[in-house]
Amino acid sequence: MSLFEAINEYSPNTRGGIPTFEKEIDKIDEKLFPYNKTSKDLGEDWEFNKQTTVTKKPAPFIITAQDSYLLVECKSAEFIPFQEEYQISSIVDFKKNIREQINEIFKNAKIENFEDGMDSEFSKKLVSLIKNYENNSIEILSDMIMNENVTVDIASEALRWIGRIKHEETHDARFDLLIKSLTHSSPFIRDGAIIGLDLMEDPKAVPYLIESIKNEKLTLIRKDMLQVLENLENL
Amino acid sequence: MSLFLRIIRRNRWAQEFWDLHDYDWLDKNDIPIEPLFDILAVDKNGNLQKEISVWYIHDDKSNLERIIAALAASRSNIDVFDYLLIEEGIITSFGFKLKKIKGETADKHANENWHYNINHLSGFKLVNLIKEILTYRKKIIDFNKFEDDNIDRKTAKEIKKLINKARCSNWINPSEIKVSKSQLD
Repeated sequence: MSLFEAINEYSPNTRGGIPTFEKEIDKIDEKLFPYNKTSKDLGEDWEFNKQTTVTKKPAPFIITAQDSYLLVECKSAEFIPFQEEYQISSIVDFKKNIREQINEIFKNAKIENFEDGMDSEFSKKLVSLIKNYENNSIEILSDMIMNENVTVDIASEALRWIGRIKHEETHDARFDLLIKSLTHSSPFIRDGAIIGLDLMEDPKAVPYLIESIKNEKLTLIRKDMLQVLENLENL
Repeated sequence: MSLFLRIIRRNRWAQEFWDLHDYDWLDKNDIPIEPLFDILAVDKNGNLQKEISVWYIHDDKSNLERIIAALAASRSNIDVFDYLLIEEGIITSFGFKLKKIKGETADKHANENWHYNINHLSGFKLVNLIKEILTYRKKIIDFNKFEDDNIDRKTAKEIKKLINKARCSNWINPSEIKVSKSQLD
């Protein structure tokens, strides 16, 4: 279990995409913390802002993760009490984990048969992920969709849900992703983006739709764009 | 000529979308596999259904919106609604049988009067049925007359309006609408 997975396991709550939790545990997994090891020994996953040596014995530890710092406290009289603050220096790792979760969700979606208007395992997991990791998840989804690292029909389904979710905190990031997707090379993706924008009902999309209609080569997609444009203009 | 409505995913029936699936090897008398996903269905237990659920549409399409509203209100969310209209003559000419059976939507009248199952399915007949629909569709696309197309989409916005219309017209029982009220406001 990586440090990040441990954080997630102990606390599903996140704040602004950064895990936040306070948890007393009886035992620290040696993979999580550097027992008699320095940050150098931990590899690339986690890097600490100071060299640390911790006695390898079970003890009640309190771990608090906030923003980019992780506070580890040992208050037991049996062992040498300590308090160390570790900097989570690599947000990239945090995002790597989100990316892995998205990959897993997309992989499992391959065996689902989506039905318009119906929730699916895919949609439930995607919505939960976006609400948990907020803009970080959208940034990664955007990268994966725009760089064609995901199956287009599943990406198309994702875009519908990205437009449908009612979640103010991520509205702007989701809107930007839908707008970017209007010019994607795959019509499946463009189709998902149009539906997403229709569901989002944000009239700010109007000028982008007008521009996309001019460049759209597929009659069917252009027809949809015109329809959504009309819907948004009449809001 | 009466029509029958089948819920589909429009992009599975569109030439523009197939072109992306490397179908250059496809024989000209063959069909892409995508439309089959909309004709064959599995139940909640993953068993293949041996009947196709369709809805009767008057030849003047006067009950089309009502049926779309009934079906859309039975979903969890407001979404686009893609559908295919098949002429009754096409269905019967391939040897399929139409059997009236009670539907399961929020519209009691529609359930009792307009829901049918297509029976006597076979692989050969299904492929020929799809071919016939696609041939008709190709003619329409060649003339670029989408307004006459037998495959169409209602946007989410239109669906919301239709469900609200159905609610105001007492076509559907409000207590049986599965779409949350907040999505309809």
